[in-house]
Amino acid sequence: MRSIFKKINEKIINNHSENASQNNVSNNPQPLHFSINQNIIEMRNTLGNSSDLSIREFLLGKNNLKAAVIYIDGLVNKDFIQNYILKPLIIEKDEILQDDIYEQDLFVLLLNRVLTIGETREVSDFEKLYESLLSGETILLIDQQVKGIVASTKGWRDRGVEEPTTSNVVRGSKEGFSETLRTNTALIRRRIKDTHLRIDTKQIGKVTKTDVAILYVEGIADEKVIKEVHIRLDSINIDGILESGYLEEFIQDKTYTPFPTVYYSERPDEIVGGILEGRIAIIIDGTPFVLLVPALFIHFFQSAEDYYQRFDISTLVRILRFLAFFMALLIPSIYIALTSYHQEMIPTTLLISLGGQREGVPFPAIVEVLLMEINFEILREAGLRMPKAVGSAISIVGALVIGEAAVQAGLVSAAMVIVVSITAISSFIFPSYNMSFPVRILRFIFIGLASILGLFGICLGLFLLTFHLCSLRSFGVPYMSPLGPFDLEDQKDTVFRFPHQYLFKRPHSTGKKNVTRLAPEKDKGLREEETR
Amino acid sequence: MKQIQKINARQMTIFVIFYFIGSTILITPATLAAGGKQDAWISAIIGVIVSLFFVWFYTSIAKLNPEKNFIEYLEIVLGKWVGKFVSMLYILFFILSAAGSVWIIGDFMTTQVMPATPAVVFHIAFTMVVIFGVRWGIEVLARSAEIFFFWFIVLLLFFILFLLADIKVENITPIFENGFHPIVQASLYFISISGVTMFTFLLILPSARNAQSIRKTMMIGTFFGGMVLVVITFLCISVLGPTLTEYNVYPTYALAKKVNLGNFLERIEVIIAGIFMVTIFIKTTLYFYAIMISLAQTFRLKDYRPLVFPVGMWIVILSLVIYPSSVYAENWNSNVWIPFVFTFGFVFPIIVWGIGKWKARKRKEVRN
Repeated sequence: MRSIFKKINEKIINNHSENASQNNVSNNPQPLHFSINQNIIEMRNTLGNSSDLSIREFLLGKNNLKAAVIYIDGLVNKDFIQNYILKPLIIEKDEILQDDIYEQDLFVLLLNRVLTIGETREVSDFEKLYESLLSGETILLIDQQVKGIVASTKGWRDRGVEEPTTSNVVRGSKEGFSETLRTNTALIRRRIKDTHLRIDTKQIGKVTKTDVAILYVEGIADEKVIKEVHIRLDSINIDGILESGYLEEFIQDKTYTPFPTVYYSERPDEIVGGILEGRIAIIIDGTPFVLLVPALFIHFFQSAEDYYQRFDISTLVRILRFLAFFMALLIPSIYIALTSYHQEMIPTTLLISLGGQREGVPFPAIVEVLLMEINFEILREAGLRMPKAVGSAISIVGALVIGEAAVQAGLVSAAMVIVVSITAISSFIFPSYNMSFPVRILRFIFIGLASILGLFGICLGLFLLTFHLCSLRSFGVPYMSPLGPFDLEDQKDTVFRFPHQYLFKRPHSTGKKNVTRLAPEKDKGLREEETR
Repeated sequence: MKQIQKINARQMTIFVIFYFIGSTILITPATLAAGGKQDAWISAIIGVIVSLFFVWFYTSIAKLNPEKNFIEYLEIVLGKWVGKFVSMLYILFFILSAAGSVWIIGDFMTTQVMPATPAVVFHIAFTMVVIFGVRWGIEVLARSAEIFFFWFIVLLLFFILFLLADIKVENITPIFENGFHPIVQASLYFISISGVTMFTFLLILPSARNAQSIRKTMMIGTFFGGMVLVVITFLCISVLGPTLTEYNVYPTYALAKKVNLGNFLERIEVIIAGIFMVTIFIKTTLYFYAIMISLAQTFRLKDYRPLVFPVGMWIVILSLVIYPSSVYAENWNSNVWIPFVFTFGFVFPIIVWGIGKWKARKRKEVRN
């Protein structure tokens, strides 16, 4: 199976590399021309006369030097250009640009005394110029100069910081990431006011040139993992990155697994929590979903709220989640195994009632289960992307299909409806949505195993599942740690959540350095005094 | 072959526990009860103590040359060709043992759980999972064992807890009714199947991360595993009574059928089946791993992985023909097994140990 994938992949890669070598562009950047007209014509040609390209030409200084302000409409803040670039250059120029301008001094003069905009730099070749222009910066070109000024005037319609839609909490911050990278880094910076927070940025995607930022706290995050993240991101050679899902598939350790080995979240507090544990966040421009690596199995069972609630209820909720994991995975297959192979294991009274219900059902248990499970999956997928107006129709029909009507029609037994409903509810409990995918996929494999080999099949399936989970790694960290390689200290924050004053150390599996997160003795004295 | 993948002391202990319990948990109470009657649990205790001595002996062999596995050591001590010949015998032993374990699974499933399904299905399915386990390597296996261990402990505790109410003290009295002799005799089989087969670890120990603590690791594992077996045997005798224990092929499974809490929680034999599956699975996988290590060592292979599947197929075929019937198996176990296993687990090791010690002393003298 894997070898087939590999072969197909190799073939595709070979074809691609041939194509790539053909359209390879020379790397030498083209310098700006001496004449401004030539520069403007060149830009118009390159950008194909796009309608959003704005070029405002004007005359500068006493010598009436021709100049132009160039920007992409929609990506810039027009007030900025109006007030801090055009106004000083055209109206207030006379006061400053009184004397004849020496060519060398012109730029210094402009930067020092005319342009009142915060962030500026010089540009001398077309490649850099396009890069700045297309990311929303404004270019100032002047005739008889082989360089231009880039002024940061980025400003576009932004969704703003809103409440995250995918992970809701009862208690905790209601802020969610937005689509703009800067806003997102700011949200994290606001929560970690430490000089050691590092933000490394790079661009990925030959066409989209998407900004990607890597965030970590130096001294807590493992350098080996940081290096590995850089290496893996640099090796990506794709035309476009539209969402963090692209990166996720490229940087995960093992492609052929249903289990997620990269964590994502829309919540800044969750990401900051991860960074403080020594993990590394990857923010991608254009998506509110921020990645967090390394991601271990248990991370998908933990929610940020676990740390905001009292420890006892958090522990209980976590145990509940693990229970739900097994229920969502195994209940349909156990139902099949018990009803078709191990009837003796069902208590007699229950067996009689089950037998009575199944009397009128025309299908064997496996068909019954598959019918209902597939139906449910269809309903779920349909409900997800439907317009809201149709949603209610789906839920009514759904209730009929998986419900009393199906039982009355004699298609399925009543017990089956309960089995499917419990499975469905259980698979919704995970705080991170992508843990429900492997459960959904593997559920069908277990149904198959149970229908062939009964409980023996389920048992073997669980063995294989455990092997598979233990063979996974996320950025070098064993996926099942701290359960797989067992770590007693880390058990304080795995299935259980000890009170905060006992969580002295960062988790061993991700935080290798600077492990102490709490000085245990500090606030003790105060409390003792209070009790006195 | 270098054993590059390393496992830590805790993982090794868990391996030892699982391996020691192995198939014993399901079968041995019957054998013990056959000889020791109501004193079978005392036989089990004696068995554990003697097994500890064997483990002590094996670790002292391992300590002679901690980086090298037993097959490597055989060639050093006995010379290349004799060493290779004995290695082949060991490979044969491991293959037979692995096939025997698979046979037990097949027999258990067809007689107790799913009588309508042909045994070959269980043999193939079980061996396939073992093959996957061995292919993934000892590190993954060790991590999985840690996760199994949690479930193992939980299930075992539930099992013991549910049965506490059914213990009848009159079943274990009178103690020492038939004297000491039959008790010791009964423990012999226990020792042969749990204690003596521990020499398989001579092949796995070079994978241990810290070679100094192997004796402690092994002793703790053996003791813990032994205690589990003693408790299970005690429960079998005290709940089922010696006669029922003796005449059941799988007394522990019969024991699980006894559980009844308020007419609701009954027929929990699936719990004991789960425990049994885990332990025999680990034991088979370690046998299998030992085969691969020995094969790789004897034939100087860099990687054993290409051989896993073919050897697995051998084992499936062999497991189908190894015991034609339960009666044959019974006969083989009581007449052939004990001298057979003592040859490999005691005679060869003690020869190797003696020569090894002698050579080491000689080397010392030469150096002095």
